[in-house]
Parts: sequence; C-alpha cells; structure tokens
Amino acid sequence: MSFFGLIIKNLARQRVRTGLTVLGISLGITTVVALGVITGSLKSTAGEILQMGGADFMVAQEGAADLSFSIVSEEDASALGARADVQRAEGALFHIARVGSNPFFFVVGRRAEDIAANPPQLTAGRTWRADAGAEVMLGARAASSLGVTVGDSVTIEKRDFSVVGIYQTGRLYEDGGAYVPLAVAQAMAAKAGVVTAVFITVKPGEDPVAVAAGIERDFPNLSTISNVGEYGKVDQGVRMLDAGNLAISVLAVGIGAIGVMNTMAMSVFERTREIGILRAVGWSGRRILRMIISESLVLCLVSAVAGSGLGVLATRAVLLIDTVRNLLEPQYTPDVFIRGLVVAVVVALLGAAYPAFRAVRLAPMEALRYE
Amino acid sequence: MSERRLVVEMRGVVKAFEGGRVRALDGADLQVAAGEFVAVVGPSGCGKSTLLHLIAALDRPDAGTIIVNGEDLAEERDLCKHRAQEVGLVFQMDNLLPTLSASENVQVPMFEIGLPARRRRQRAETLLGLVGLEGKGHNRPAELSGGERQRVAMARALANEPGILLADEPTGRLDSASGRRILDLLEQLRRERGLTVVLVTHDPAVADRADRIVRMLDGRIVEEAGARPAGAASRAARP
Ligand SMILES: Nc1ncnc2c1ncn2[C@@H]1O[C@H](COP(=O)(O)OP(=O)(O)O)[C@@H](O)[C@H]1O
Ligand SMILES: [Mg+2]
Repeated sequence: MSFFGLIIKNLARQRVRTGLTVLGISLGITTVVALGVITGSLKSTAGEILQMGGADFMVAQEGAADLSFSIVSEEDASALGARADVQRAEGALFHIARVGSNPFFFVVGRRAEDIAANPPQLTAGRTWRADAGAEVMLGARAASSLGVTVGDSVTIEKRDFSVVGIYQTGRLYEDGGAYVPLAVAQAMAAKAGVVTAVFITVKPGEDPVAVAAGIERDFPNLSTISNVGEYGKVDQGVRMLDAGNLAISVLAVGIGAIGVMNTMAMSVFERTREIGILRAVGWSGRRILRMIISESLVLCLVSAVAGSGLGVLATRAVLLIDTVRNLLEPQYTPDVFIRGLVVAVVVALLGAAYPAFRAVRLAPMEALRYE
Repeated sequence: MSERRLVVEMRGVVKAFEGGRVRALDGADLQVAAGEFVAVVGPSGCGKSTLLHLIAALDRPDAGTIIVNGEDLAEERDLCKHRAQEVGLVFQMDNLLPTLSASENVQVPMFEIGLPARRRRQRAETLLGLVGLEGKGHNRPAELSGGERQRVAMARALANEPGILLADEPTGRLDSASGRRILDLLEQLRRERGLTVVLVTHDPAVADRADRIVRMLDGRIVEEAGARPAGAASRAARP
C-alpha cells in the first residue's frame, strides 16, 4: 500500500460526501473557467479592433466609459495625420446596429481614400467608390449569416444598401459587420464630424511607444491604446470584465474553501481515534499533516479537472446562442485553465489548513480515548 | 539480571487524570533488563495500561523519570522515532484501522522508517506468517476474529523490529491454543533477537511463563518476584 493509496482509501470511505464535495468545487471551477474563456474571448475580440487596417495603435477619447462612446473630432484626426512621426492616421466611426436577428451588427464608417490607401482583402466584388451613399461592403461572416452576396441588397436600420463587395480580415467584429462610407455612418449614428477612434501607423524608423507618448502629451483629451491590457483606459466594459472575473474567482475560492473545510473537518473529526492510532505507532505530525493536505489536494485536483471539462462544455453551450456567436470566438488559452487549477489548489490548502492543524495538535492518548 | 543492561528504568513516576482526582500511577518504580520477560499483574484500574502507555511515550508523566534505552523520555526530542522504532505496543483493544486490510495495518508503522512499498508488503507478509495469519493479509479487521485481530496488532507492533515489546493483555481474548502460540512466538523472538517483553496479563498461567512478575496496586509496584517460586507466594501476600 502506497501513501497515495492510503489517501485514496480515506477519500473513498465516504463516497457520497467526497462526491458531493467534488461536485461543489467542480461547479466553482466551471464558473471560473467558463467566465475566463468568455471574458478572454471578448477581450481578444476587442483587441482585434486595435489592429484595424494593420495600425500600430489606436487613439480614442480619454476617459470614455466605453469605446463605443468615444468621440474624436475629425480635426483631431487630421491633426494626428499631419504629425511628422505619423505615416497614416485613419479615423473610423463604429456604430452598432440591429440587422436581422443580430443586435450587435458592427458598422464601420471609413473614408473612401483610406480604403483606397489600405484596401481590405476582398473575396468578391469591389470596394465602394467615394461618396457612394447606398453601397456597402460586407464581412464574410456577415454575408454568409445573412445569406447575401454581391449584387444583393441588405437593410441596416431602415436604410437599403446594395452589396458591392465581400471582405475577409480574420477579425471577428469586422468580418461579422460591414464597411460603409464615413459620412453614411455619421448620419446613421447622428454623430456628424466625429469618429470613434483613429488608427495610427507610425513612420518607418519611429518607435510606436514614443509616438504614442507624444500624442498623449500633445492631446490631453486623447488616449492611446497599444494592447488589450491598456484597453481599460477607455473601455469600462473591459475593466468590468476583469473585475467581475476576479470577483467570481475570489468568491469561488471562498465558497470552495468553506466546503472543503467542512468536509475535511468532518473527516478529521470522525477519524480522531484513527489519527491517535497513527500517532501511537509512530507517525509524525508532519506525516499526518501531509495525509490531510494530500486528501484535500486530491479532492480539489479531481474537481479542477472535472470543472475544466464542464467549463469547456458550458462555453460550447453558450455559443449555441446566435448573439453570443457573433460576439466571440471561444479561446481556450492555458491561462484560463491555470487559473482554475490555482483556484483549486488555494481552495485545497485553505480548506485543509484548520482541520490539519487540529489533527496534528491531537495528543495520541486523548485521541485514542475518543469514542 | 542485574549485570544486564537496563532498557527501561522508571523512577517515582506519577500520572494523574481528571485534574489530579485519579492517580493512575502514584510513584511507580520499575526496571527491566534487556531480553527480560516481565509480566505485570494487578487488579483492574491499578494503572497497568497507563504504565505501558508511558513507556511507549504516548503520554508524559506528571512527575518522575522514564529512561528507555538510556534516553530520558522527558528530554527525547523525537518521540515519533521512539514510538515507531524503539518500542512496539499491543493495545488492550486491538486498535486496528478498520478500513485497511490486515497486511496494510501491519505496514502502517513502516512508513515512518522509509521502507519502499514492495519491502513493506513483503515484511508484512512475513510478520503475519509469524503470528500464524498467513493468507489472511487481505482481510479487513471486521472479517477477522478477536484473536486474529489481536495477532495482527502483534504483527504491527513488531513491524519496525523494536527492541522492546509492550503488550497489554494480548492473550486476553484468545483461546488457549492461540494464546500459547503468541507466547511461544514471544519466547522465540526473545531467544533469537533478544526482544524485551513487558506484558500485562490477568492470566496466572501466562504470568508464570515470565522471568519475573510485577504486581501493581493503586498505581504502585507493590511486589516483584521471580515467576515460579514467587507465583504462589505473591497471591497470598498483602502489602
Ligand atoms: N486518559 C485518562 N483519563 C482519565 N482517567 C484515566 C485515563 N487513563 C486511565 N485513567 C484512569 O486511571 C486508572 C488506571 O487506568 P489503567 O492504567 O487503564 O488501569 P488498568 O490498565 O490497570 O486497568 C483508572 O482509574 C482509569 O480510569
Ligand atoms: Mg488496562
């Protein structure tokens, strides 16, 4: 019999209790993993916006609660383009519209000259011409989910557009949405003369970090975002996702630890006499400690595996909802599972600490007389 | 006996319970030489079990000194090593772990001396053979008779080859044949390995096989005698 075998035996003696504890912790881990996958995917989708047109970084309104609320004047956009260290500055207006059953249809208003200077990869048709009021380019995903192709027409917020081209960028928001001329988007959003963000490509040889710092210095009303980590600067949504994620993890740890503590405390309590016997035949306090902590760790690691599996299934299930599918592509990155594992280990250690301490403190004779 | 090395020396040992109201040991003195077989007798509640528990370092005395193998237990830092290797204890109740098989019960103390799993299993098998339980290694305590359980406990006490075996009425629940078998085994271990045995018993026939009988009353050793000549006399003596 190995030490590990002994631990498994100890856990197996109260199958129902062990099973229910594992179930409880698994559900906690499921929440942590599923939430991690979904927020991670949302952030990565959000991060894709930064790369629009292959820019180095994005400039948005300082302190805007959400990127969609960000407003940058076209003058500022031109001023940015005129900077000596900037190669190209493209202002774009984002507008979220309902199209068909999709309430998150992403309409991007772009200037024809920007499209011409930096054309998207087309899978069909052509780009729209300057001042083509009723022409639209559709992302490949949008075209296929709407079931339309070049020459067909689509209705976006009561405006009829004819589809002139289909593009593919590999970025979820854009491929699930449409490009319309900037003026059209400004009219749809009732935001004349402004854009949501400006995408900056620096001159060759310039350091994007230095350029971004220079822009923030010269335009106190603007904020530069180079990576998803900085997204919180303008997007409360991302900040809230992070905070919610952390809160759920802390909650999962707290609830899980109490559950494990309850289970382990009961199990130690029931085995008082046996622990006395182990002490009497020479087991050290350290070995008793190792036994209890190992039992707790095994419980939680099994839960981590089960919870991760359930978490993946849960995200798959959520993706059956159309709306969600248009917003995110699930990303099962290792860090989400590592977080689940860390939660499990913390739960195991926190939950076992007190029962193990009690077990070690038992005097052998006291324990042996316990009925 | 006096020229042999002392393995147990107790002097003026006091152990009280329940805030001093019960004095289980009240100035007990006992000396045991290496390889000796000492039987401890006395009425129920006179402190026999407490005496063994203190020698096994399961508890600390309130006064007095206990020296085992030259080490004062009050100064011994590693009581676990003492319990695991210096002494083997067979409890009055068998005190086996109910969820483990007989073989696993015998292996439990071996964790502390770092034997690999295979060696643990082999040694447990040998020990179970020694106490006449070959083939019963897979049985759980609940599947064994009281006598068999007591023999498993004996095998467990011998797991780490201690120099001193402390046995608390080990034959109490055995039929006379198995009781004899246990005593024969102890005899053999004494001869072959120089095992020292301190055995608590109520059975005069068992006590008569000892080198020396120690009689206890109210927490003290009241009489010591060589077994055969003193056996009859001690029954008549009143302190
Ligand atoms: N842990 C304990 N707590 C309280 N009383 C105890 C404890 N251990 C022993 N005693 C008491 O001490 C006395 C001696 O007990 P014990 O050594 O078991 O006697 P014996 O083994 O000779 O029957 C008894 O009165 C018993 O009730
Ligand atoms: Mg007793």
